[in-house]
Amino acid sequence: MNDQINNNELVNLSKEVRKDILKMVHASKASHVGSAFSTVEVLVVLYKLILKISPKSSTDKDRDRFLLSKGHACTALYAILAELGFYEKKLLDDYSKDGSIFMSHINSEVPGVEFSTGSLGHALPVGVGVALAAKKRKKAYKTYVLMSDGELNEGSNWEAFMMAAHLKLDNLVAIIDANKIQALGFTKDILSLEPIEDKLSSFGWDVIRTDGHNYEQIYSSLTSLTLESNGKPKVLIADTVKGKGVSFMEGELKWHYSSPNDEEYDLAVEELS
Amino acid sequence: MRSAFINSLLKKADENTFLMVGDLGYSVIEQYVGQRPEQFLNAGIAEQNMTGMAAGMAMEGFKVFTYSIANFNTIRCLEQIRNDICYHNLDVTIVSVGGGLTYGSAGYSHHAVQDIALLGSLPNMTLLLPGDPVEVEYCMEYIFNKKGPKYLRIGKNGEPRIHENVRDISNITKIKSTNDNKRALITTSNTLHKAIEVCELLLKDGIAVDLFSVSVIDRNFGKELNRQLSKYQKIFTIEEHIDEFGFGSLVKSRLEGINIQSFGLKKDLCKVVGSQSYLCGEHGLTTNNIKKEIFELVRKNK
Repeated sequence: MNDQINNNELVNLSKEVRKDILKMVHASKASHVGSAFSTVEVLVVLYKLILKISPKSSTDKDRDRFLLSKGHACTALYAILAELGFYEKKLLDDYSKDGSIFMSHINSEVPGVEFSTGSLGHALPVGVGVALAAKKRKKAYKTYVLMSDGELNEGSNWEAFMMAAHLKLDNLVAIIDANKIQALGFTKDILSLEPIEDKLSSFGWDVIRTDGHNYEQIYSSLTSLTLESNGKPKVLIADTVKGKGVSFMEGELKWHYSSPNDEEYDLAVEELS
Repeated sequence: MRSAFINSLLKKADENTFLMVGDLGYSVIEQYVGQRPEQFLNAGIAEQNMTGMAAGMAMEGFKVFTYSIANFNTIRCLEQIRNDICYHNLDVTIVSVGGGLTYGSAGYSHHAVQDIALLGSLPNMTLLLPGDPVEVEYCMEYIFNKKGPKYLRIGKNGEPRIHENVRDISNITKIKSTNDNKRALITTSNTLHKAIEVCELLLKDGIAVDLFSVSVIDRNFGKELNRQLSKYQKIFTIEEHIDEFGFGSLVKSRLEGINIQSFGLKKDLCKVVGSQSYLCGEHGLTTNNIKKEIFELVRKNK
C-alpha cells in the first residue's frame, strides 16, 4: 500500500463517510443506506490511492474516469467527494431536498460526478464507450465502473462484458460490489450469479476476488489488475456486507430501503464514533 | 434516402466522427468503413450496449452515429437514449432506416410507427424527418452544425427526388403554393411524395391546397410552424406513423384555433403480412383515400 497513506487515515475517512451517509439518509428519509455502506472501503481506496482525479483535475482530459452504476448508492459518492474537497461539506445537507442537485440517485450535475445513473445496467456500456474513446485517442486514463451484484441481472451488462473483451479494453476496470442482497432478498435466491469468477473469466476478463472491506486487499488487487496491458478488461469482485459498519444494519434486507429513525440514527453514529 | 445519408456522412466526416452499426447496413456502410476503419464499429446485435457506448464516446468528444433499422436502435434501447444520451445532452445521432411501414412485409416487429411519439417526447432531442434525398442532405447539414441528441428517420432507398437543391430547404419548407392561403397540407418524413400526389389530385378537382414538408422538429418548431401556417383556415397532416400522439397531434398542439385534420396509421394491429402500399391501404393511408376525404371535408364546409 502507498506508504504515504496509513491505514488509520483510511479508517477515519471511512467513518466520516459513513457518518455523512447516515446524516443524509436520516434527514431526508431517502435511503439505500445498506447499499451505500457496502461500497465505502472500495470508494475510499479508489479516491485516496488509485484514481488520478482531484478537485483541481475534475475536468482534466487525462483524469481517470469513475462511473457509479449503482446510482442508488449515491450518498457514499456524494460524501467522499465532499470529504475530499470537491465541494463544501455543508452542501450534503441539501441531499434529496426540493430543488437540490443532490438527487437520491447519482447526478452528474454534482461536481466530480461523471455520469448520472439510477436505472441499473447503464454505466458499464457507457464505460466501454469511454474506454474505447481513450484507445482511439491514445489517452492513458483508465475507466472504472462500480456496479452491484444484483445489477448483473440486467442483460445490458453482459452485452458490455462481451464487447469490452472483444475490443481488448485493458484500460477498463469494473468493480462488482458483491453485497449478496438485492431489492427483494438474497441475490442467490433471486437470480443466482455464481460462479461469477468463472463466468467473467470465460467472458475474457481478468478477474480477482477479494474482501471488499479490506483496504490492503482492495488496493493490491486493483494495482495488480491494472499493472498489465494484456488486452483484457479487468474486474474486481469485492465481497462486501450490505450495511457494513453499523452492526444492526449488516446483512439485513430492511436497510436496502429503510432510513434510520432518531433512535437508530443516534445508535449508529455512536457505533461509528 | 439511405444512399443520401451515407454519401453525406462520407463527405462531412472528420476525425471526431464515429459510426456504430447494430450488425446492419450491408451494401450501405462499406465505403465509409473503407475510408475510416478506425472510426467505425459493428457493435453486434446488442443495441442497449451500442447506445450506452455511443453515449460514452460522445462524453469524450466524438460525434457518434448509431445505425440500424426499424425499432432496433430506438425502442429496444429507449431507456439508454433517454437516460444516457438525452439527460446528459450528448452528441449522438440515432439513424434508423425503415421509417413507417417501409419494411411492411417483414411484419409488425419491423414497423417503425411509434418512433416520432416516443423519441419526440425526450428532452434535448431533435427529430430529423426527411422526405427525399435532398432533405436528407439538409438534415445532415443540421446534424453537423449542431451538437446534441438527434434522431434521423430514413425511409429506404430510391425515393423520388423532390427538391432541386439543398438551399431550397428549411426546417419547414413550402413546396407548393396556390396563392389561396385557405388550406394547407403538412407532411413529414416518408409521406412527402404521397402528399404531392394528393395535392395534384385535389387541384384537378378545383381544390387548392398549399403543401409544406417538415424535415426538422427542434425547439423552434412551434414558433416556425406558427410563422408559416397560422394564416390558414384549415390544415391537413399526413404521416406514416400512429396518428395518436404522432406528428398530427404535435401540429395540433402547436397551432391553436385552427381546424386540423390528421391522416396517419390506426393503432389497431394488422396481423397479416403485406407490402408497404398494401398496409397503407389497410390503414386508409392511400393517395386516393386521403384525397377523397379532404375533397369531401372541403365540399361540406363550402
